[in-house]
Amino acid sequence: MADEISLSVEVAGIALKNPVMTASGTCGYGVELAAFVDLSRLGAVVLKGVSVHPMPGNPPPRIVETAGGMLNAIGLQNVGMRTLIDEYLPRLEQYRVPVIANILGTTLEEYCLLAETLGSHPVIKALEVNVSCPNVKKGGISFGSDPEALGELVRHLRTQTDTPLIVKLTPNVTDIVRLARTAEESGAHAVSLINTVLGMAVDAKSRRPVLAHIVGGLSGPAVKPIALRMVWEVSRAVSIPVIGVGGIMTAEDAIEFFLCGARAVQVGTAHFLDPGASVRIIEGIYEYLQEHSIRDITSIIGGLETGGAGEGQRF
Amino acid sequence: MKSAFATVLSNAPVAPNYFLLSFVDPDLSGQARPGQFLMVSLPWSRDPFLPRPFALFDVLEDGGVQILYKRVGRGTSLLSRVRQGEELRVVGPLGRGFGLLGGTDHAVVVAGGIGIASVHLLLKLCLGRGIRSSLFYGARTGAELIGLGRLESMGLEVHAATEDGTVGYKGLVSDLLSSALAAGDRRAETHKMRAFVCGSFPMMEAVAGVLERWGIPGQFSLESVMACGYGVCQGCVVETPGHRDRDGGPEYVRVCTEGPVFSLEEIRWSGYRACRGRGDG
Repeated sequence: MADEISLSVEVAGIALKNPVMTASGTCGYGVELAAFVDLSRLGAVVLKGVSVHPMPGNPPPRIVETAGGMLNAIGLQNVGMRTLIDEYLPRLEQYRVPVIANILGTTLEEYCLLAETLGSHPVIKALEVNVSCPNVKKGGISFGSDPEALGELVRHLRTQTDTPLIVKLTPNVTDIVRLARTAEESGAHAVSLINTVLGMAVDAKSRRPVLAHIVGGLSGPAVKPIALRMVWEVSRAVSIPVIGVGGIMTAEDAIEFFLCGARAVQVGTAHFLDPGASVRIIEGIYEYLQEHSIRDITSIIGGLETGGAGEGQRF
Repeated sequence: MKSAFATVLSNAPVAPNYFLLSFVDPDLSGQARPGQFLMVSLPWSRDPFLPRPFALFDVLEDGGVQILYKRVGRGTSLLSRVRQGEELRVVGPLGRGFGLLGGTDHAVVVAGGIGIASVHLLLKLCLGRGIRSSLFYGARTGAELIGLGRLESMGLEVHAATEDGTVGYKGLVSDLLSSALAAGDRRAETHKMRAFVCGSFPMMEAVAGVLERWGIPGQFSLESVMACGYGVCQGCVVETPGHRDRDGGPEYVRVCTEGPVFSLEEIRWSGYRACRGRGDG
């Protein structure tokens, strides 16, 4: 129909009915969120990161509220690859939504086994690679902050599976553009950014850190400015699609990311306030396009008008 | 289970720092089970940012829902200033509530302070089913025994305890419970009892000790700092005794989903003590 507004986008070879996904770690294995929303309405569902073997996670306290956000030190608690395949993936088949598995490990071998096993599963349409994990072979520095290790990881993963690979970048680096370029050059089909920002909370009365793990990851509205800047810079530096994530609470927030160059967005922490957040945001994006007489979401991607300002500015 | 807006009907103090908030939601009212809770937030609040968990204090036949809460931090302070007509976001009903398995001839409910909020609906249910119900209710002072008169008129056997002795037994409710059990006829009475407990950590640990000594099965409503409240973030976990993962480490369960009600055997008290977070409730 001539008047129909299109929210469809293609990312890493997958056709998405709309550009909104759930962020890994904020909707469990999909089934928990399904109690509140019809998963078929989402662009894609990204599952909680899985490792080869189950991980128990960190001792509590694992979370603490901050101004406009929260810190989490969940510790990657997950049921492991086997249980994901046996118990959760079959339950996701009924939903007409692309399912993206998020994979994590501490060695190349672990990542490769996950890619090979999950990549060949019919329910999984793409793999998002969590590179914020410590690389035990390199003394614990994370894959995502070491261009050499990241490049090696992505190249190896490309040999393990034909399933599209999305590399989820960590903001806790000096130059995220460099890591994004490395991911692209090594064969990633897309990048998603940002993962959480490292932070800490202290209890002045007890003189102790609030989190048992001391350091955690900051998410929520507090990180949106950081995420927007990184999405903008990375989008201008790579040709592969950029998926924007970080503090998106409303449709307007999502639009900001599209303008900065994101092809799609992920909604995460917002689900903790309202399980219906992603559906509400999809509806809001549609309304925005309607109000501005825009027929196709793709026409606003990268549409930020800087008019020369901002480039080369120093503070 | 759903996420919806609720229009506040009333939000008034019932004691210093204790408030009763009510709204209408027939779905919620109909689905709620004793021991379940709601996640409540002001829709556009960014500081405080996260919702807060509140026990379902009461549900009424006309679709009314009530929460009883204590002002303890930034979240509850903000909530206490919400006025009639304002909107809240409410997610629920959530969690595994109290289990009233067939065979409870005598419900022994033990509440400490704001813990009364978690057990109130259970008390109504027990009375409605004709189950003999005793309430051991403790607080620092008489003014914090919320609705004591009303509870007494409900048909409950109420045993009150206050630390300062202004009302009832002077001392801890766990000691009052212990004395009451000792005064009764052991063999005839205790095997038909089932206890339901909610209060501060030290109170519940002490009551657990009493129940273990008397061989009375108990269910405890735990609390934890929460973000989502419905099981997706894994933030609110407690350690489970007995389970060990493949590396010999602990296993964790979610207070919001596998709980908040846990039976006595499911709680590792040292683990619960350690995880009591600094939530700015």
